[in-house]
Amino acid sequence: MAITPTPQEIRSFVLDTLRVSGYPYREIDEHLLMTEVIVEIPPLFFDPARLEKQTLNLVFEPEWARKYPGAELVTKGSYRLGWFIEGLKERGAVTLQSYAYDLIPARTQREILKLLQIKEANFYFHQPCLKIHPHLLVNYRLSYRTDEIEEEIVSLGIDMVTGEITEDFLSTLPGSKLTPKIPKEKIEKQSFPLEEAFSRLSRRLSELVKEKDPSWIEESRKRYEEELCYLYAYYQDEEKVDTPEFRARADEMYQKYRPQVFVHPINVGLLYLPEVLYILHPKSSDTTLPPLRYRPALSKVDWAV
Amino acid sequence: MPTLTLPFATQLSLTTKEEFSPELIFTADQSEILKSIHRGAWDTWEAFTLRLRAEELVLHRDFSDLLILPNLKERWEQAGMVPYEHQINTVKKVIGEMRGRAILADEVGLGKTIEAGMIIKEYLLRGLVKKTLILTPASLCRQWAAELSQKFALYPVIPRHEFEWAKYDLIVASIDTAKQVKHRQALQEIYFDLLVVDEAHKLKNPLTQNWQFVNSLRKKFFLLLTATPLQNDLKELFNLISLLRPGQLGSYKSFRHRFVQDKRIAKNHEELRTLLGQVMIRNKRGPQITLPPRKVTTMPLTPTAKEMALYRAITYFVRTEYRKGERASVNPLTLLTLQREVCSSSFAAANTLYKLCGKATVEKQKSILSLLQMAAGLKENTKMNLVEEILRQAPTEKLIIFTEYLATQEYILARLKKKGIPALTFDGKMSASKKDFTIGRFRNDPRYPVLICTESGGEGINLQFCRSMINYDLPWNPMRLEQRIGRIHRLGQTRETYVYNLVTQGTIEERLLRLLVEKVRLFEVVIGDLQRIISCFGRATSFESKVLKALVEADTESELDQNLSALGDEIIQKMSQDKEGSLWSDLL
Repeated sequence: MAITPTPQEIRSFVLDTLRVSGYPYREIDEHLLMTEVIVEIPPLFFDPARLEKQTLNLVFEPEWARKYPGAELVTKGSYRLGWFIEGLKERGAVTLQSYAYDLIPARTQREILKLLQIKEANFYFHQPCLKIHPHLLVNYRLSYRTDEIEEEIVSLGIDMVTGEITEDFLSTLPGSKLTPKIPKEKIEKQSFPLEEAFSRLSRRLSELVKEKDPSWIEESRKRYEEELCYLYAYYQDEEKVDTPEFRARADEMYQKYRPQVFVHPINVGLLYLPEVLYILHPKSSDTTLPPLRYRPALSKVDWAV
Repeated sequence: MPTLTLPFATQLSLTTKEEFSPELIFTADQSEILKSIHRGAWDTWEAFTLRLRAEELVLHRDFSDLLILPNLKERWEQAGMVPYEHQINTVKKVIGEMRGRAILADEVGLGKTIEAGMIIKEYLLRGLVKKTLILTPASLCRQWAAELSQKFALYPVIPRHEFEWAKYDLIVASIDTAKQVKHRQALQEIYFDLLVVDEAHKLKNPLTQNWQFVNSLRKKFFLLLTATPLQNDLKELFNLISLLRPGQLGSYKSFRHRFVQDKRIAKNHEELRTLLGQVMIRNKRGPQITLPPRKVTTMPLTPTAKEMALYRAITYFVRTEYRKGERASVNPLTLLTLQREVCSSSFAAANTLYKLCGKATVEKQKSILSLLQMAAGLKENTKMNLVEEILRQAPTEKLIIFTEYLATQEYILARLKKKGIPALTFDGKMSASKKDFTIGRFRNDPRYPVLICTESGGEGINLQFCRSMINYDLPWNPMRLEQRIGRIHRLGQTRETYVYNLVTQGTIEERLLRLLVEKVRLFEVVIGDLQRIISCFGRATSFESKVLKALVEADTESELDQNLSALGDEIIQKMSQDKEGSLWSDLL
């Protein structure tokens, strides 16, 4: 998503939220959306809080707010968008999904060759074996904070059998093929518990933060050093450098500028994803090939070394 | 905090890489997530991805757009509030360029509180601020709390107990309460994300408890609000800036060397202005920021013979006592008060005379008693007749009557009551809740068209829903007169405002007003210039003393006119000197 979401993105988000929440809505035209929602009248007025039906007329661009008087403008930062977002806080925290995949050798082989970008292979496919690997998917919000703040979402997935971690995990998953159930058979036993999976993901996060372009830290460091110079200039004539007062001021500055990364897990998925292992027979007898690993859900092919 | 290796040459690196290695802080408890998994509280894939999209919509990515504008749009529309361009620019500059440390020094009535509220809300929405403390004079605590809740959907707490400082995240408190030993210790333990100090011109002396207390608080972002960052001399300015950002103007020694020609005259203006501009924003009225016009009308009144006799007798008494110098049995300040009171009403003067009588020697008592009898015997009041006439002409229009004295306030209230005109009173002694109640009633209840307000009660209150004001008596300090007018003539006022100055002919009040209006052109100059006028005489009371001196040193009316004219010349001369060399003209 772009830095500032477009009106279309916000409208699509609101529509999906209404759909997921089961509220009725009507798209009057491509600009005006009408919906009926249940709102809670706060306990300040009624104790216990009372639920009431409310009709909302929503538009997503300022010019349409003028053309439809009385309609609410929903934009980034608006009260109504915040209301929808707040309403989702109780939803989507954890999910359990499995990727539906039928192993049909001819089709699977075509898929593999396509991913390998070769028209004719120098090996024969032999003995496919389908296993289901449990994965843990965690979406994190990372807040890079100094005296400024910048945030990003990081999606990491870990194979609970091999321990392999995949970055940008969510975007590789085709949501349409996921079903909310545990497969009945062929599930591989996970090699480590969930606690360990979380720890491994945390370690990867640390590495990712270290690998990130350090300019945000350097800029903040520069600002901090500038402040220290100012402080020093002020206190040196008073001969107060290295006094508790000076140290307190310097510490205040350090607290302001030191880089911190706040990690907030947004939601967690337990996913059962298929893995097809192929034994390959080379066409020429002087070479040997390791087994080929194909993960359809992640569109990945590699040698299972 | 890192170990400091402080520079003797600034090009040395002051920090090590380790000190600036980012620290990862996990904000959620992993065991809670595991519990949800073990509970099997699964949601659909659609809800799962939607939750992520919701998070994407609220990610903080840059400072270019203010989040408050869409966030508060509806609330502001309901409250009839429109953010002004200069306010939006101020918020952007404070958050962006000034890194959250700034002096908001707009002229009176241009919305410093609104700007501070916008900054607080913006930082909160961005997640950069949580723990916020707002320090104000006690009389403004509730007004701050009301403004924050009505205009910004922020609900601060006004603490009474020590434990509340740490417990609540958004606090409004009186600086006098906060600096008390039991509270101070609790506050010094806390690291505030944002500290706001209103009426910050009271923080100009580092030897005061207030300055030291504010300096001792640990804070990330820091706002100081004052309409008068410069009042008396350059050292005060240095102290204020150094409280905000120590070192911005160097050490005092280097500041004095680089920028001080005389304690009131600066040198190296350009450089100093640049340095001030890095930490201070001062919006002024001008082509971009305009208010509806204001009409100031002087209403000259002819006093009755008895009123004039009392005025003359008291003036004679004041003059005689004042001329005695150190031998005088009455304090010069009391004499000043008495002279001003007799211009307000005989009732106000009677109070002081009564007190003087109790303290005076038997010999002196006689002359004071005769004055007291004159004052107490005076039942008429010409000014009040005119007030009744103004009210008769516009009976439904909300009107504020300002006076400096409680006795005059009581008299006005009694006279209005007698005429069947319900009025409300407002003074500095009222509790905060009663003040709120009174302003609310005056604003909303059409049965009460009149508010009688004393000087001390009126400080800092916003009454722009009303557009007419009567100055029943005139403060001798023109700055205070401007502050009175600023209660109604401020941002948010949409209509032409009317100010009526009641002056009794033949009194010092009439001559003073003539001097200020005709010679100094008081109502035509902007506030900044007005400050300049007052600052020419040092502290605020000095100007009033000068007026009294002009009065008591004159034996005849023509001498008095000459003395006042000389005072006017002095003001004009100092103003033109000021334009050439002092701070006021071009630094702010």
